[in-house]
Amino acid sequence: MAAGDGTAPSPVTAERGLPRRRGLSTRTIYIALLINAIAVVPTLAQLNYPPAFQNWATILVGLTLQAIPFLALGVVVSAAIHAFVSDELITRLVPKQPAVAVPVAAITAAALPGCECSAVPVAGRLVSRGVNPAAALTFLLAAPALNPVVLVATAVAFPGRPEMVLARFVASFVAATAVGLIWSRRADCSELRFRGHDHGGTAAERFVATMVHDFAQAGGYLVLGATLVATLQTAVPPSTMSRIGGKGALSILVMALLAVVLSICSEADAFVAASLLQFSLTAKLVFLTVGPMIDLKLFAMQVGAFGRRFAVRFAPTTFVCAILSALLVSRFLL
Amino acid sequence: MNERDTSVLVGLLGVFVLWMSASSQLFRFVRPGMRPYALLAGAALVITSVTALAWQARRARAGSSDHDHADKGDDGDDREGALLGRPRIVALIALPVVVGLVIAPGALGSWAAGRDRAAFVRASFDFDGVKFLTQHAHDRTPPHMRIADFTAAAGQARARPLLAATPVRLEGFIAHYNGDATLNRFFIACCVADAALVSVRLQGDFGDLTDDSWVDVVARLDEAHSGTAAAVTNGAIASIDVLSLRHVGQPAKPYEYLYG
Repeated sequence: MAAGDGTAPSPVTAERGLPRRRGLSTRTIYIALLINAIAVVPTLAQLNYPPAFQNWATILVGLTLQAIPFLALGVVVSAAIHAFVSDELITRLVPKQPAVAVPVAAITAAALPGCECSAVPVAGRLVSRGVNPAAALTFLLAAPALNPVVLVATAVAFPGRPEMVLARFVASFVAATAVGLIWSRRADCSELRFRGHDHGGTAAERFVATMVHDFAQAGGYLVLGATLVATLQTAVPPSTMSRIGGKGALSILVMALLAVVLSICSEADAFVAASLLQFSLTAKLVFLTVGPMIDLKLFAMQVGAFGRRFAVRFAPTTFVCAILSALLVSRFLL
Repeated sequence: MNERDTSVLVGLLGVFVLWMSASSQLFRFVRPGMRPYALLAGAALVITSVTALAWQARRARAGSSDHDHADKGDDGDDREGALLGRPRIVALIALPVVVGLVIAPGALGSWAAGRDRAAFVRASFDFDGVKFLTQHAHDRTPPHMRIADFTAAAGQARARPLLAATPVRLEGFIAHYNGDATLNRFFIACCVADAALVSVRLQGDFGDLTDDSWVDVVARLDEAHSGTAAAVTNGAIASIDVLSLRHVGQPAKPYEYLYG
């Protein structure tokens, strides 16, 4: 798969005038917006907004600010993969056989301290460079939960229970590998491609253009996800869900759904899980396995990277695999 | 959304991140340890955006039209189901900037505290109450304690007698709960989305304490009005016997942070 600009259609001269006119009008809009902003924003910022609305705003801005450094890191890596890594190198490094590539991807993910927001653009670019999609998806699922930072955080959150760290590692590894292998058997796997576009020019030009493009795209979906999370967290207090609590199957499902709704970073989720005293260790393991693999924020970003049709099938598969894997592992380890 | 507008928005977001992190406003949203990374990311976004704009302008002057097609091809992809259409969704990265400037959201306060009580029982995870209190036994002024640490110690049977005897300083905001005034702080690991409340009940009459006002108190554990150590560990709210109370402004770091 060539990364060059050979695929671009030939110039359509009739449309040349259109971007110019649009360019002029957007510049006018910018200036108008800027004048408005300078005049109006200080006044608006003084207003007293309803507390629920402020709460929503705080969570939205908080989630975004927290994610941006990680997303930027992921985009630097994805742009570098796009601009600087040759096709030969990729072919040489990544095994072609899914049965080999998938576990290798999971192990690679464990070695890299990335998290949800960095993994999405990286996995997307890996697919666009011809890496076996099943392996790239495994990387996407494994990177947030298996990295050293997250495992240390888990150990701190569950003092005196080192088996929790092991259980989390094994459950996430099994779930990520299982989803990867399931996906490698699907016929439509080969159709999966990253919705990015190719840039011409020198490697440096491609790097910068890809960074802007990938950041803006993943960022747009990240904000969409953050908006959903902020809205849900404001409308439905987490206590409502955690109070349902319960035992057995219901508590497992509640914790799995809570992980999806809360969309907490994988570095923080162990502390939240440890704080939910009414739940069993098994339910907590489900929470810690599901959260880094699929939540609202991630789902939005996966839609952005791979398209909605893919995401609506991928998310339920991941959700079920993560729960089953956590239940299986807790039987042996907890 | 064409490539130039996209670059402008990315740069705008970068400036916003830089501004939030350069002022201490960042601490209302994420843990302080994120600041260097946020500064780095903000700078990277601004530099990338400016470089991209400069190179786009250079290409436009050179009369190359490559990128118009690239964008066209892109738009064509969109039928395969982006939620709001891909080029338009890029505009969403302006939302946090607009919300941050227009609503200027503050730190989580009494509203969030009132509804999320007992959502998560969060105390400091490896806090040794006995060790802390013995170390500070001979301090001339009451030692400062985080409410999360205080709550953790109130749940440790061996630390409780010390906590009931040693006055400590606690700082937090006021929220009323079931008619009682409580002293509260949110405790966060990464960002406000994972915030959990830590809280103690104030015993005594302090006149009118309005919700969300920040106070600094010197207090001891009121064992009689707090549940047992086990109950506190399981989420019962501990009571404090307040010796003195002083009104303060909201601190620059409004939460208690797990990682610092």
